[in-house]
Amino acid sequence: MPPTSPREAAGPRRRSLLAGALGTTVAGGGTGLLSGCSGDSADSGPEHDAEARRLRRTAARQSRALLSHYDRTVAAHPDLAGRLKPLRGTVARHIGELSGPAPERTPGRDREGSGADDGGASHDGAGKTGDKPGGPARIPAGRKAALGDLADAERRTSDARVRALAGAPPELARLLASVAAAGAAHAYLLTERDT
Amino acid sequence: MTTAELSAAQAALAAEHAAVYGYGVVGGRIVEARRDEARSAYDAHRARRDALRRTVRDLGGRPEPAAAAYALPFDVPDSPAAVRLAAELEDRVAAVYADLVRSSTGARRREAAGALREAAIRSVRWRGTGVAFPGLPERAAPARRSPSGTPDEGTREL
Repeated sequence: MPPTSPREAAGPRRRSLLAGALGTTVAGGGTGLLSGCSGDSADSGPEHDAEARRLRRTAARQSRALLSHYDRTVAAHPDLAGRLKPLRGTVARHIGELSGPAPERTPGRDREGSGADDGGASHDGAGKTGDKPGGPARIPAGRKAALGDLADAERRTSDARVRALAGAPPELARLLASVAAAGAAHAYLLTERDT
Repeated sequence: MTTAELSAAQAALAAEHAAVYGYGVVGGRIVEARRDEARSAYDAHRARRDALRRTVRDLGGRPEPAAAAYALPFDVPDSPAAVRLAAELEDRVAAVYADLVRSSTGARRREAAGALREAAIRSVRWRGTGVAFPGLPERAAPARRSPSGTPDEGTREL
């Protein structure tokens, strides 16, 4: 048995169950403190290089495709509007975060690639790189099938993000893991919970 | 890089120790119909805890032990409180794994991302709703809790 720490031996004061829940991340969050990448200042370094920008653009495009899918689902099934609203809202926030400003550039100028980086605009994700438009060609007539299609889209997008984060710089990887997790949670809400 | 990863792995291990303890409390209070779910989560966290011990050793560290007991963040007198505690545990676990994703690479990063995903799904199962950025408390919206702090279980109240 490991020896009890002096703190435990000190008596009734117990370690908080949620100790460090915020402290750990706030201390290291956002500054690259734990990234191990030296010299990653606000506008240089791996978080802002061409590969990172490409990953963000791709992820933002996937989220826009999801958003379009949500909107078309609601258009076909207005009775689902209430249920889908919070999920759609989350996808919109993901777009905002993934499309986020590139600090060293003037907004809208000389972005490589599709140029379809206008944040929350709700349009299909087809860019000049030839990505397929977001979502299926048609929304199923059945409510359950429509929700199932959305869940599949969320799952596929989530899986794509998990693959992408392997090669991402530290902060972007953390963000991609988070939005991937959110998408997986959406897939659960869309199929397992009937509100 | 390794030092940061070791530090993040120890933090994740600490969170899993707390989760294992916390789910013991959850299991003792939660309504019968959800006890299997709590048990399953408890088992999953024990497995993650054991994996993190190995990870910490692989990174050249000594796995930090669990505390003998933990102070609960709030009283857990009944099932709704137990459910809320379970959700909080998962949120904390999600946060440490998000940090571990940042600090790791390769297979360990994949593992951490998978653990974050699991925690996010469990959190949603307990709470009924999700957050936009699981594991990123700096991006959390202000909590919309009722003044009494009881969870909004909606139709899942049993």
